[in-house]
Amino acid sequence: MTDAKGHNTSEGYLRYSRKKRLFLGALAASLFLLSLITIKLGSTDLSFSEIIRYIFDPDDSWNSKVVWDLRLKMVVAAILAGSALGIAGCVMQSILRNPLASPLTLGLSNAAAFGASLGILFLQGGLIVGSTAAYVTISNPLMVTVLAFAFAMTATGIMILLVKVTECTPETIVLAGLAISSIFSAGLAFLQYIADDVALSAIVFWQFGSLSKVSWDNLYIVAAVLFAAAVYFFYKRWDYNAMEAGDDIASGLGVNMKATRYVGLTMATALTAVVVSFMGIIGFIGLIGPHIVKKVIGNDNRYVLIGSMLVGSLVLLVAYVIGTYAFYTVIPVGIITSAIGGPLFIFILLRGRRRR
Amino acid sequence: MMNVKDLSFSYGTTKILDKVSFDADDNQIISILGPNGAGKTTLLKCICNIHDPEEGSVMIDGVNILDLKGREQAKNIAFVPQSAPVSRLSVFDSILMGRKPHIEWSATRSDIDKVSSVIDALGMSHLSLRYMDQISGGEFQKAQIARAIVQEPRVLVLDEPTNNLDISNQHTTMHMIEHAVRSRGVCTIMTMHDINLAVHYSDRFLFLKGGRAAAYGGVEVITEGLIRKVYGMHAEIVHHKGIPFVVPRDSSKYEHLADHEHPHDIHDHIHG
Repeated sequence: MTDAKGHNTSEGYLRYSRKKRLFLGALAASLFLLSLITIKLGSTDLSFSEIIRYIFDPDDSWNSKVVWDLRLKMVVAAILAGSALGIAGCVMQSILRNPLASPLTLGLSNAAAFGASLGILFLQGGLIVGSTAAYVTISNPLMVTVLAFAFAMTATGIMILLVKVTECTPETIVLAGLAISSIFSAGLAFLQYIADDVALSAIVFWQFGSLSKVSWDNLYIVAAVLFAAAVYFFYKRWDYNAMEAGDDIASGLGVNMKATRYVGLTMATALTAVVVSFMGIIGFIGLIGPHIVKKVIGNDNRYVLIGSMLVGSLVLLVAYVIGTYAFYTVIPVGIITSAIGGPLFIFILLRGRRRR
Repeated sequence: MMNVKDLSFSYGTTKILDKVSFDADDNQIISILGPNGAGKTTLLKCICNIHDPEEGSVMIDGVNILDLKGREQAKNIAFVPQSAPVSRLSVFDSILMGRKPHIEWSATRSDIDKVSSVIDALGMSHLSLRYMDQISGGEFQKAQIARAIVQEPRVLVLDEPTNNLDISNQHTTMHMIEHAVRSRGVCTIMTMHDINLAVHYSDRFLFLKGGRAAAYGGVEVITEGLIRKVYGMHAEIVHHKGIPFVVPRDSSKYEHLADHEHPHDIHDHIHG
C-alpha cells in the first residue's frame, strides 16, 4: 500500500512493529544475562560453564545444591513473582483504564497479606521456624493461597463496586485503594498484636516481601497460576486494547465487557494472591513494569503484556541483587522495590496531573 | 437492507425510546435528528446492542443482529461514539483494532494492507505511526471513523461525527463518511445536531421527540411545522441552490438582514 507521496504505509508499520519485537527481544536477552550473572554471584565461586552444567545435570555435590536450592531458586522466584505482578498490574491498568492501578495501589496486596497471615498464624497454614531469626515456611500452601485469594477478591469486589456506582477518577480509585489497604493493614496489625514475639518477627519479615524462604513446591504453584493467567491475558490482548479505547468502542468491536473485566480482574487478583502468599508484599512491580514498557513502546497490549512480565522480572532481579549484595546485611526485596517504586509513583501522579 | 422495528428502551422506569421503527437501504445515509434528550444516542446504542432494548428488532438482510454474538454483530455493524478516551496507541494500531472481529489470533498481512489502504485514502499516512494523543481533534475523529470503515460492516453507526469540529473539519469528515458509504455500499446511520449539515449529506431523516419518531423520510419531511413540533421553535426553511436551510425565525441577531437581503446571504452570514 503506497500513498500519494510514495510512502509504503504497510512496510512502515511492519518496520515499526519489528522495533517493538526487538525491544522485547532485548529485554529477554537482558533478563537471561542478568539471571546468569545473579546465579554466579555469591561466596561460592562458580564458573559459567559449571553453572550451566549443574543446572542441566544436577548431582549431590555442595556446588550443585548452591546452584539449584539457593541461587537458581532465587532467580526463578524473582522471574515468576516479577512476571506475575508485572502482568497483573498491566491488565488492571487496561481494564480499569487507570495508569495508577496495580496490586499494591488498589489494596489487593495488603488484603492478600491479611488472608495469608490469618492462615499462617491461626489456621496452621504455616510453620514458624527458628527462635531468634525466625521465618515462616508455608506448610499448607493451598489453604494459605485460597485465604489470600479470598481476601484479595474482597478488595477487588469493593473496587469493582466503586467503579460501577461512581464516576471515579484514577486518583479517587487509588484513594479508595488506600482506604482498603488501611482496613486490611489494621487487620494485619491486630494479628501481629495478638501473635507471640517469635511469630511476630517471622510474620513481619515475611510481609516485607522476600524471595529467600520460598520453596520449589511454592514456585510450581506460582508458575502454574502464572502460566494459566498469562495465556488467558495474551488471548485477550486485543480486547484490552479495545477497552482502553472506551467501553462503547470495545462493545462495538464485540468485546464482552462484563466477562472480560471480571475474569481479568479475578485472574490478576489470583496472581497477586499466590505471590503474596509465598513471598509477602513486593510493592510497585505491578506499577513500574507496565510503565517502563509503555514509555518505550506505547500502550499496545500485544507487546506490553509480555514487556511488563520481562521488566517486572528484571526490576525484581535487580532489587534482589541490590538487597543481597549492596549492603552489609541482606535487605528483603520488598523494601528495595518500594524504595524505587515510591518516587516513580509520585512521578506518574505528577505527570498525569500535568497532562490533564 | 436494514429494518429497525419497534425499538423500545427504558432507564429504570423512565421510557427513553418508545417503539421506534425505520428502514434503510444499502448506500444510504440516515440522519437522526432531534433536541437534546430525545433519545438519539440511546437509539444508536440499542441498534448496536450496546444497550439491550426491551423490545424490537434490528434486521440486516433478514437477520436480527440483536440475536447474534458480539463478534458476529461487530462484523455487521460498526459504532463510532461521540467521544472516546485518548489511548497511547499509534494511529495505525488504533485503526487496526477495527479488524478485531475478523482476526482469529493475530493480524495478517491482508489486515495490515486493508488498514494501510484506508489510511492512504484519507491522506493520513504521515500520521500513521504517531500516538493518538499526539494528533488533533479532527485527525482523531478521522481515525475513529477509519477504524469503523476497516471493520467492513454492513451498517456504519456514528454518534455526532462532527461534534467539536470546526466547520472545515466538519465537512472533511462528512465527505469522508459519504465517500466510504458510496464506495463500499454500506448503510450509515448517524445522529446530528446541525440540521443544515445533515441536509447536505443525508438521504433520509429520522426526527425524534421524547423517544418517539416524529417524522421519517427524505428532505421533504423537513418543514417549518416539523421544526416547531420537534424543537418548539419558529424557523424558516429557505432554499439555496435547491438545498433547504433551516434558519431560526426569531433570531434577533439577524433581524437587520431580513428585509433586504437574499436568503443565501443569510446563509453566508450564518455559516461563513
